[in-house]
Amino acid sequence: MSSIYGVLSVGKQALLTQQEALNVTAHNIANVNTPGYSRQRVMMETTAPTTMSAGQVGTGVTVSGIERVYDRYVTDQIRNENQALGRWQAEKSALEQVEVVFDETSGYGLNASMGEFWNAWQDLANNPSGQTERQMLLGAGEALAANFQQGYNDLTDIQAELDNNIAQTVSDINVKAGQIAELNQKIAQIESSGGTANDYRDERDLVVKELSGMIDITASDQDNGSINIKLGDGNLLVDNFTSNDLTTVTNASGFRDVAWASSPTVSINGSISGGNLKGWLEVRDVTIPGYKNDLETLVNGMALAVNTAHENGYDLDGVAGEAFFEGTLADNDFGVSSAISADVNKIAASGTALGVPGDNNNAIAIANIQHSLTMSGSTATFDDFYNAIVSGVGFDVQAATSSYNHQDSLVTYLENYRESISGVSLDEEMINMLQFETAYEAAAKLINTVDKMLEVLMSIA
Amino acid sequence: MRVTNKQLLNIVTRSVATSSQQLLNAQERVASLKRINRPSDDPIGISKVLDYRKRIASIEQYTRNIASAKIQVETTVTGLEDVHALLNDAKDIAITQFSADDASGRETAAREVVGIYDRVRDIANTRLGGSYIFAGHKTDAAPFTTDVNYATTYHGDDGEINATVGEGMSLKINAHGCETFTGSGVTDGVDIFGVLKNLKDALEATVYNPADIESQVSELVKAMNQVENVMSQQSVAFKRLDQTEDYWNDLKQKFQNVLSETEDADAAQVAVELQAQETAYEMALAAASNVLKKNLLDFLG
Repeated sequence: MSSIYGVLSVGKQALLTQQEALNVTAHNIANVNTPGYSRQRVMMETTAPTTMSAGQVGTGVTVSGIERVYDRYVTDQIRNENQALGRWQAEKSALEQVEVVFDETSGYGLNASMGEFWNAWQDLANNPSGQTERQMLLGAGEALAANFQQGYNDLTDIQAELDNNIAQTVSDINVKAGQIAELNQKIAQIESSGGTANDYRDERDLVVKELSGMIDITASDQDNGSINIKLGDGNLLVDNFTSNDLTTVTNASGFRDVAWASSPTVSINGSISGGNLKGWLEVRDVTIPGYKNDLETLVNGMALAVNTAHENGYDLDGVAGEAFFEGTLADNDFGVSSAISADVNKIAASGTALGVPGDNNNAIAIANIQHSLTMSGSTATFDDFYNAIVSGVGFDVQAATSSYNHQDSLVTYLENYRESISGVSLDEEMINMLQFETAYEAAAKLINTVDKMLEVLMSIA
Repeated sequence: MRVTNKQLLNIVTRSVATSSQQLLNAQERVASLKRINRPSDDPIGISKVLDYRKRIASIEQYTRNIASAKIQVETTVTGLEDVHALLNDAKDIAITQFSADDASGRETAAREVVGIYDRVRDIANTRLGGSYIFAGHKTDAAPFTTDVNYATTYHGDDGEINATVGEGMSLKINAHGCETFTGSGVTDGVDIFGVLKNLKDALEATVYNPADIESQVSELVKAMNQVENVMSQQSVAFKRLDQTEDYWNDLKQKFQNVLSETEDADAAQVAVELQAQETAYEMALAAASNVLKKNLLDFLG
C-alpha cells in the first residue's frame, strides 16, 4: 500500500531529475559555439517499482546517465580525410609561392630576359664594333644570369621556409601528443569510477583532429578509455598515458628530416603520408628540387652552347673568345665572365681573326643558338624548355589546388554531417527547456498537492 | 537531417568566403583584363603566351635588323649611283678628247678626271655610323688610300657582312671594295682607279695619242658594268629586305592577335562576370544576415 510520503518522494525525485535535465540543456546552450563540442542529453529512467496486491506501482524517475550524442564513424572519417586535407593545403600554399617565381607578369620574366639576350646578339651583329651594342649585350647577359640566379635562390629560400615549417610542426606534434596523453589519463581516471568523461572526450577528439591535419595517424581505442596514436611507421606516438617525442635530424641537403627522439638519427620521412608535414616534405624534397634541376639543366645547356660558340669567335682585338658565362646556379655565382664584364671588347662577334672588326658572323651564330634544338634530347629550344617548366609549375599548382578544393569540400561535408548529429540546435534546446520546465512545474504542483493532502489529514485530528 | 546553429553558421561563412573569393578573381580579371594572370590559370595557355611573346620580340628584332640593313644598302646604292654617273662623265670626256686634238681642252679634261678620281675615292671611303661600308670586314679604317702618283691601294678585304632577317635567314648586305672598285676576283673585272689613272695619264701626255685615250673608253664601259652589277645585287637585297619587313609586320600583327586571344579577357564578358559575382556576394551576405537573425526565441511569449 502506497504511502503519502512515497508520493512526496516521487515528486522530489522528479524535481531533481528535471532540474538535472535543465542543467544539461544550459550546458548545451552555453557551448553552442564551442569547437568540437558534442551535445549532451540526460538519460532518464524509471526507478524500481514496488509490488502491491493490485500490481506494481511506479516510484518515479531518476537520471541514469549523461551521454554525448556522437557518431564514431564520422569522427574517424573526418580524421582520415583531414590528413589528406592538411597535405594538400600545405602543398598548395607552398606551390603558390613557387608559382610567383615563375610568374611572367609579376615575376622576373625569365622568358623576356632570354629574348632580350638573344636580341642583343643581333643588335651586335648589326654593328659588331659598336661599344654601345657591346655594353647593351653585356647588360642583357648580366640581367639574364641575375634573373636565373635570383629565381633559383628564391626557390632555395622557399625550401628553407618549408624547412622551418617542418621543424615547427614537429614541435607542435609533440605538444598535441602530450595533450592527448594527459587527456587519456583524465578520462581513464574519471571513467574507472563509472560514467563518461564527455567534455574531456570532446576535447581529445578535437586535439586528435588537429594532429591529423599535421601528420597521418591511426587512432585505436583502449579498454580504459584511452586512445593510442600510431604513426605511419607503426610506432606509437601516444601510448596510453605517455607520449613519445619526435625530433628533427639534419640530412645531406642541409634540411631537417623527422625522426623519433628515441632514435634521433633515423629519418622517418619515408613513412609520412599525410598532413601538413607530407605536403611540406614533398614540395621541399621533391617538387622544388625538380624545378631547380630543370633550371640548372637549362642554364648549363645555355652556358655551354653560348660558351662553345663564343670560343669559336674572335674578339675586337682579334683574339679567340673565352667563355661568356661562368659559375653555376648551385654555387650562387652564375654570371657573365668577369673578364668580359671588365672589357666588352672581349665579346667575340667576328667569325675569323682577320675579319675583325666588321665580321659579324659569330654574333649571328650565337643569336641563332636560340633556334637550335639543344634541350630534351635535341627536341626543344631553350625557350621551349623554359616554357615547359612554367607550364609544369602551373599544372602542379592546378593539381594541388583541385585536390585541396576536393578535400576541403569532403571535410566540410563531413564536418557538417558531424554537426548535424552532435551540434547544438538552439531551437531544439529551447523546446527541451520548455519541456523540462513544464515537467518541473508539474512536479512542484505534485508536492503542493501532497502538502494540501497532508493539511487535510492534519485537520481531522 | 537535423540542422544546428553551427551548421547554419558554417554554411553561411563558407558561402560568403567562396563568393568573396570569386569576386576577387573577377575583379583581378577586370583590373588586368587578362584571362591568364598566373601559370596555374591555364598551364597550356601560359606556354603559348610565352611562345607568342617571344616570337613577337624576335620579329621586332628582325625588323630592327632589317631597318639597319636597309640604311646600309641604301647608302651603298646611292654611292654607287654617283660612281656610275662619274664614270659616265669620264667616258664622255675620253670620247670628246680622242675625237679632236685640243691641247688646252685636254688640260682641263685631265683636271676634271682628277676631280672624278678623287670623288670616286671619297665615295669608296664612305662611312656609315663609324664603319667604312666598302671595306669588307676591315670597317675601322679608310679602305682606299692614294699616293702622290695617284696609285690607290685597297686595305680592306672581301669579307661579307650579313644581316639576320629571319629565323636562321641571313642576307649579304655589303658591297666590298674588291667586287666594286678593284675588280679582283670578278670576271672581266677592272680596277676603276687604274682606269681613271690611265685616262688621266693619257690626257696629260705631252704627245697627243688618241689611241691611248680611246682604249680607256671600253675599260670605262666595263667599269660601269661592274658597278651596275653590284648595284643590281644591292637592289635585289633591298627588295628582299623590303618584302621581308612587310612579311614580318603582317606576321607580328597576326601573333599579336593570337596572343591577345589567348591571354586577354573579353572586356564585356569580364564586366558581366564581375557584376554577376557582385550580385552573388550580396546575396550571400543578405542570406547570412537573415538566417542568423531568426530563432525560436522570436516566437516564444
